[in-house]
Amino acid sequence: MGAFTDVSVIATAFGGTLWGILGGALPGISPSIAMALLLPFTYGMEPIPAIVLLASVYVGAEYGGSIPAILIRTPGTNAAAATTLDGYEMARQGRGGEALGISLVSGLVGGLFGLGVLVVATEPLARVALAFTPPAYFALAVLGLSVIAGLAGGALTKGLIAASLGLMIATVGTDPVSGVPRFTFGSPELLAGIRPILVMVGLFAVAEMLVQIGEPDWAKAEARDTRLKLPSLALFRRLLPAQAIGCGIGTFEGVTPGAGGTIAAFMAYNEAKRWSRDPDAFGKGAPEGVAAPEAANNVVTATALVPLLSLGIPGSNSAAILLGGFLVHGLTPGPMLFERAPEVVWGLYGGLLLANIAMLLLGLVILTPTLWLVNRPKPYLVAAILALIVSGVFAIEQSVFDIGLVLGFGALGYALRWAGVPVLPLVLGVVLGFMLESNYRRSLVLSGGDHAVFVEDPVALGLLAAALLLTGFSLWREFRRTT
Amino acid sequence: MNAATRDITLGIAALAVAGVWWALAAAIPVSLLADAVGPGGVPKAVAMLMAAAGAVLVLRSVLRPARERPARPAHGRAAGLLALLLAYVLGLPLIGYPLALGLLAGAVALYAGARPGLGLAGFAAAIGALFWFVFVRVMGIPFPAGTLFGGL
Amino acid sequence: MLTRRSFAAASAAALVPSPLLAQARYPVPTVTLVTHSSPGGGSDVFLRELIKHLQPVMGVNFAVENVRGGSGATAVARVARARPDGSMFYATTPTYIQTTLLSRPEFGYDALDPLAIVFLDPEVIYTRAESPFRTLADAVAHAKANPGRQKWGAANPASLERIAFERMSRLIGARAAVVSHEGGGDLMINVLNGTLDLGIGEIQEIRSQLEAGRIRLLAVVTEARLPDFPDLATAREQGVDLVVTKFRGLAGPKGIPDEVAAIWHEALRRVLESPAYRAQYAKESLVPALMARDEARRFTTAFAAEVERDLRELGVVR
Repeated sequence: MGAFTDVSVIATAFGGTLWGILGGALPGISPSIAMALLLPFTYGMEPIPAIVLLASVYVGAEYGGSIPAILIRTPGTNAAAATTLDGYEMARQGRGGEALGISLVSGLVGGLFGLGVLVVATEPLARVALAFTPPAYFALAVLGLSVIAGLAGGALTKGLIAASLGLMIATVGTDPVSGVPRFTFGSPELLAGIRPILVMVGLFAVAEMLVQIGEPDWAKAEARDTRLKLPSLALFRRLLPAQAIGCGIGTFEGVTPGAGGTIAAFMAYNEAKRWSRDPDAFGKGAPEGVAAPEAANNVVTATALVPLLSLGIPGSNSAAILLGGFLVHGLTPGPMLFERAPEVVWGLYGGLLLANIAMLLLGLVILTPTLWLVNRPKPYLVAAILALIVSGVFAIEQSVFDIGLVLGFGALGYALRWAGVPVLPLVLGVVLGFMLESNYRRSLVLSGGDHAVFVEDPVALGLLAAALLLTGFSLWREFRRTT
Repeated sequence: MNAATRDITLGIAALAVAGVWWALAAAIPVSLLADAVGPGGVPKAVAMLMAAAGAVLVLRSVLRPARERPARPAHGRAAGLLALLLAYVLGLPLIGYPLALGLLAGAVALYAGARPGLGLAGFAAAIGALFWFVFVRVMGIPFPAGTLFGGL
Repeated sequence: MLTRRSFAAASAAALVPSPLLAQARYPVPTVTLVTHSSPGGGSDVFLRELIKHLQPVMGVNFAVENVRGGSGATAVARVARARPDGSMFYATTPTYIQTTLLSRPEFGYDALDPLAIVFLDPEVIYTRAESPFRTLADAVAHAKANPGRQKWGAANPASLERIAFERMSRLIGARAAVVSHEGGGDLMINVLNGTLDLGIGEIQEIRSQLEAGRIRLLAVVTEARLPDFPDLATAREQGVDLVVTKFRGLAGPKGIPDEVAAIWHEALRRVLESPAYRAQYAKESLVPALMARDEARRFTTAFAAEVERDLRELGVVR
C-alpha cells in the first residue's frame, strides 16, 4: 500500500480525475473515449500508475456527465440522462448550485459504496453475473421498459408512441441475428446503429435551445445560485433513502454486463419517486430526483468492474479500455489476477478511492466557476452551448453525419414537446431496444422457438414478475389519481 | 391549432410512420442466417404497437376532444436557429473547424439578441480558438482543417 | 502538449537510432498507420506493438491514428484518398472485407492495395470446464446422435466464426442452434453458465478464462497445430473439415511504388525474426505468415471471393 502515499500516484489520480471530469462534461466524449484518449500514454508507465490513471479518468468522467445535465440540460454521458429531469429543473429555478452540490455528494456516496461492494463482494456478485442467460437479459430489458408507465406523466398513449419510436431507432443497424443491414439506406454510418447519446443530446439539449430561442428571456428566477451549495445535514438526511435506492439498484445493474448506468439511473429515479412521500414534486425540481440517479450511476462505475475482475469479461466499453490497459502491461484480468498480481488489484481499488476523493475536492474548486459561466447573458450562453454540442458530437466518431443526426433529433424533440409527447419513453426505448430484441431472439433460437423459455428460467421469471408488478402499481396509482 | 386537432395530427402521423416502418421491415432480405422471428419481425411488432397507440389517440381525440389551447411557440425562430446549425454542418468540411465554429457562435449569439460589435466578434473568435485548443490540440481529435485551405 | 500524434512523434524521435536499412532510404519521414479499432482494441494493439519494433529497423517516425465510424468504412476511405507515397497505411483484418460486402460503401476494400499480410490469428473451439466433452470429436459424436439439441455460440452475427459454425453444423448434420452475440464477453458468459455447448473465438479473447481453468479447448480451426498448444488437435484431425483464416496485414492507397513495398517487406521480415518481437507475438498466439505485396494481393482477392461466396450462399448479401 506504500504506493498510495506516493506523491506521483496521488498526482496521477488527481490529473486523471480532472481529465475525466472535463471529458465527461463535454457531451459526446464518453467515459470510454476519455479513457481511450489517454490509453496510449499509459503504455510507457509502470502498471500501477497506469491503472490508477485509467480508473480515475473513469470515475471522473462518470461523474462529470452530470454537470452539463444539470446546468444546460445536456447529458454529458448516457448515464447522466436521468439527472436532467430534476437537475435542470432546479437550475431553471435558480437552484443550480444546490443541484450541483447534491449531485457531487450523492456521486461520492455512490462511488464509495460501490467501491466497498467491489472490495468485499466481487466473488458472490460474479455469480449473479453468470446467472444471466439470454432470457434473463430479455426480462431485465422489460423491467427497464416498465419504468415508462411511471414516467409517462399521465400521457400513456403518447408515451407508447414515443416508446415505439425509440424502439424503432434502436433497430437501425446490423441485425443482431442474421447480420443483414436494417434501415440503413445503404449508409455505412448507420451500420453500427445510432448511438443513444446522439438521441439524448438532440432530444434534451438541442430541442431545449430551439425552444429557448423563441422565448424572450430565460425564465427569470428572483435569485440565482452563484456558488456551489453543499447540502445541509438535514437535507443530506432527507436524501439518504433516495441514495440508498440508487445504491441498491446500481449494484445490481452494474454487475450484469451490458446493462449499465443509464438504466440504473432511470430505475433509481423511478423508484425514488414511487417511494417518496411527495411523488408529485418529482420533475419539478425535487432534490431526491438528483440524488437517486447520481448515486446509482456512480455505484455502477465500481460494480461494472466485477465481471472484468472476476471473470475477465469487460461489461462495458469503459471496462474494455481498462482491460486494454491491463493487457499492454502483460496482465490478464480475471480470476488469476488476484493470485498473480494482487498488488495491481489493490492498485485499482486504491485508484478508485483516490479518484473519489479527488472528485470531491476538484468539484469544490471547479463548480462555482462553472456556475458563473452559465450565468452569462443568454445570447452568448446559447451560442456557447451549441458550439459545445456540435464539437462534442463530432468528436465521438469524427463524423459530420452524426452532427446532422443530432440536429434531426433536436427538431424531433422540439416537435414532440409541442405535441405534448413525453420524450423519456423514447430515450428508454433507444437505450433498451437492442438488448430487448437481441436477447428475445437469442432466447428463441436457443429454445427452438418455444416461448416457455421466458418463464422456465428462474431469473427471467422473477424479473418479469417484478416488471408486471411495478407496471400494475404505477397504472393503478395513475388511475386513482385521475378519477 | 387547438389541442384536439394537434392530437389527431399526431395520431395520424404515428399511423403513417408505423406504415412506412412496416413496409421497410417487410423489405429486409431474409438470409439463411436468420432465425424464425427474422430481421423484420421485431420492427413489425413495434410498428403495430405504434399504429395501435396512434389509432387510440385519434379515436379518443375525436370522441372526447381536449379543450385547452396549447402554447403557441415561435416556430419561425426555432427554424432559423436550425438553419444556422445546418449551415455549420455544410460549411465545416469546407472552411475547417475553428473558423466554422467561430462563425456559428457569432451568428447564433447575434440571432439570439447579442448586440453586433467588437464584443461579439471577440466572443466568436474566442469560442473558435478555445474549442480548437481543447478538442484539436489537447484531445487530439482530427477535426476537418477545411478543403478550401488544402486540408482533408 | 497531450496530442496523440505529437506524443507518438516525440517518443519516436527519442527512440530512433541510425537506420539499419541504409541501402534504401524510406521516401517519407513519418508514416501514419490507420485503424478502425479504438485504442486498446485488436488492431490498435497490433499496430502499437509492431511499430515499437519497426521503428529502429525502418528509421522513420510512426503514428497510429484511430479513425472510428462506419464499421471501418471511414478509415478505409481516409487511407484510399491519401497520397500513395508510403506515408499512410491501413491495418487490415477480415472486417474491412465484410463491411464492404455488407454495406457497399463508396470506398471498399478494393479501393486499397494490399501491402502485406503479417499474421494469421488462430481460432479455437472451446467449452466450459464442467462440460462432458473432452475433444471436438466427443462433441461431434454427441451432436450426431442428438440432432437439433446442441447450442453453439459465435461473437458477431455475420462474422467468419458464425459462418464457420453454420458450415460445421451442416457438415456433420448437427442442426445445432448457432447463436450470435455482441462481442466476445457476451459469448463467454453464455459458455461459462452452460447456456451454450460450444464457443468459437481467437485465443487472445479467451486467454483469461483459459488460464483460470474455467474453459477447455476442444480444437484449433487452422491447417496445422499451434506451437504453444501442441496437444490440441485441429478440427480436421478430429474429422471436421473446417478451417477459419483470420489475418492481420497492411494496405495502402493504390499506386505505391515498388521500392516502398520492397522496403516494407524486408523490414517486416527482419522484425518478425527478431527475438523480442517473437516473444511478444508468441504470447498472443499469433502465427507469423509474412506475404509480400503480390502474394498479399492474391491472398486478399481470393479471401474476399470466398467470403462473398459464403455470404451469398447464406443470402446475407445478394
